[in-house]
Amino acid sequence: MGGYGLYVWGSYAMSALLLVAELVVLSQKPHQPPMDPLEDES
Amino acid sequence: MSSATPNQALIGSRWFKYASPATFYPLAGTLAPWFAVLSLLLFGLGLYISFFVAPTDAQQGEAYRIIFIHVPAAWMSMVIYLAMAFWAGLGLAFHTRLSGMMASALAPSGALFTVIALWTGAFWGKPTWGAWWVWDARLTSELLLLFLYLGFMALQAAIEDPRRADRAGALLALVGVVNIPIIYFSVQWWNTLHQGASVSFTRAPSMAMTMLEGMMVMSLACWAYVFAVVLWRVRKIILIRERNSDWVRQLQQKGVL
Repeated sequence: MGGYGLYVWGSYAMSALLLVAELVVLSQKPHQPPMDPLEDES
Repeated sequence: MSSATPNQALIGSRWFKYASPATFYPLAGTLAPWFAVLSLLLFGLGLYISFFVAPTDAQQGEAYRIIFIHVPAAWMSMVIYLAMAFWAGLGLAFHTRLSGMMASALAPSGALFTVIALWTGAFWGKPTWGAWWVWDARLTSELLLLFLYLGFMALQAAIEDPRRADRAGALLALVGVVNIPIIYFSVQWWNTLHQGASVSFTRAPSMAMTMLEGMMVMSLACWAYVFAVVLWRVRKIILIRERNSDWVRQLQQKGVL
């Protein structure tokens, strides 16, 4: 990378890390709040 | 009195059909995997062009290759904000439930692309400008965009009632729209260290065609990624918010969820 490896790979590595992290967070089961008993009755 | 023809009314009713969370949920589930596959293919092609086809820049050397992720990420950060504000505004005006959910689903991806734009910008700035960060109009307004995304998410998280959270978030999102033209035109309005646009609607691009192709393919990859992720996220939001509705219960009884 002509001496710019840290900058180029640092950019792409962090971008990939963030995108993968978003996918990991999304793949986790959400915390479902309990059903609202008032709405349940309606 | 409506001037729409029966055919137009039919097309309109088909579109409005998907304004309901119950009908949009399966549609999003069908579309998301296609966008995910498309995104993977486009990222593969885009990275190949960026690293193996595009030539070394005469002035910036190999460091310029950062633009293949930096520019698409910066574009996405602005486009996602506009989309978020559009959905939020639509929800505020017409009280459509899905609009608020779409705005909520877009915000994290918008924040993520803003972080990528800022991070890659810093890694491009250091070898070319000699500084990781400068308080230049373009960089500062992009940082403000990140705070707007974070503020939107924090505000929505702080309000328990989703409909009230949507309304409060919509107001913030709509006020924040003013920042988008500031980001875009900052390099023209002020004397900034950040360079002007290399790609514009009004003139020919000031870069080699292979470089432009790499940037465009990477942009399309980001678009496809965002479509996939946002459709995936909005499905989760729909399930949480509609958990008391009959159609979600039916899906649970069928064991689909």
